Amino acid sequence: MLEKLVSWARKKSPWILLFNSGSCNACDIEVIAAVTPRFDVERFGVLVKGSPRHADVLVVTGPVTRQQASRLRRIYDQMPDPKYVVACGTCASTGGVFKGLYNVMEGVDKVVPVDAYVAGCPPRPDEIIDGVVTLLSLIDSSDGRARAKAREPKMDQKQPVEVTA
Amino acid sequence: MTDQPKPPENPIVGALKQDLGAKAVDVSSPRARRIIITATPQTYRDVIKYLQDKQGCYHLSVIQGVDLRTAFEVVYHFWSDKNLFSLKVPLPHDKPEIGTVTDIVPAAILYEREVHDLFGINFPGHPDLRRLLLNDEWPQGEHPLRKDWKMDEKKFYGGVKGIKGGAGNA
Repeated sequence: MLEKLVSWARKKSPWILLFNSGSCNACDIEVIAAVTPRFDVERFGVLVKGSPRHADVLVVTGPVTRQQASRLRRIYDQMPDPKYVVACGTCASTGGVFKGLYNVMEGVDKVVPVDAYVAGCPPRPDEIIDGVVTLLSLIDSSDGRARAKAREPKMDQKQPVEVTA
Repeated sequence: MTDQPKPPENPIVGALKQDLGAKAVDVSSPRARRIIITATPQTYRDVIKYLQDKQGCYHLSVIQGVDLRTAFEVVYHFWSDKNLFSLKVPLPHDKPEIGTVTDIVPAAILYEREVHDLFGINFPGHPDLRRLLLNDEWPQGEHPLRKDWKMDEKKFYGGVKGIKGGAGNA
């Protein structure tokens, strides 16, 4: 009973944190468009927060440069459980056009476990909203199975990975 | 395809050849407003001073590094409102070193740092030859834009330990 209530509360107010891990800013502009009144993702209770300690969902754009990787990991570690990650855009999902470059990690899932991927270069605000709503359906599960499956890390190494300060 | 008439040689090429004499190994102009000068590490400073004083090159567009495998090349691009002068200076591959031009071209300070960072070309006399573009944890002595550069599987290039990423996956 209480679990259901908590799950409902969680689903109705997912607070998000935006993180640019070396993006070209196109995805960021689309994310900002999605959270502002024109597309208004706030009708799902989504609020943008300025601190990882207040956030439930981490929205990451960019291919994760080597300079940003440890910072992304640190921000993820600062978020309270349960936490979710949305990789927003092609670069954040796979590395995109930056794949094979010497200075990128090629995707957010190399550094932190990712729950939802939004494709597109950049993704339209509608697609970002679709990704967020898909994520909300993961959050809403009394048995929590969907979420556990989604949080399986997509990397060769075992979690948690070692973080260099 | 019709044969296009060959444009007449840019008159400035002849003037440059006359003024620079032996200081310039080669002067050419592939198209209008574009002049390519090849100099040596002994004469490039004189050529830059000549471009500044006599051709009105007040603006340094960029300094490029080029890896030709057998040699390195540093290319200084100067703009004079009328022409874009590209000054090429070839350097030996085993000892890529060329004196700084920051004393006569202050704008070169960042470009020289960039070329030093990515190509490992040394600029003696530069006031502050720190790392510019590569991340803080990048190992010393690795220059990713060199043609013979390969990511060393054993080294840590920054990011998160245990994850290769980037060129390490290839």
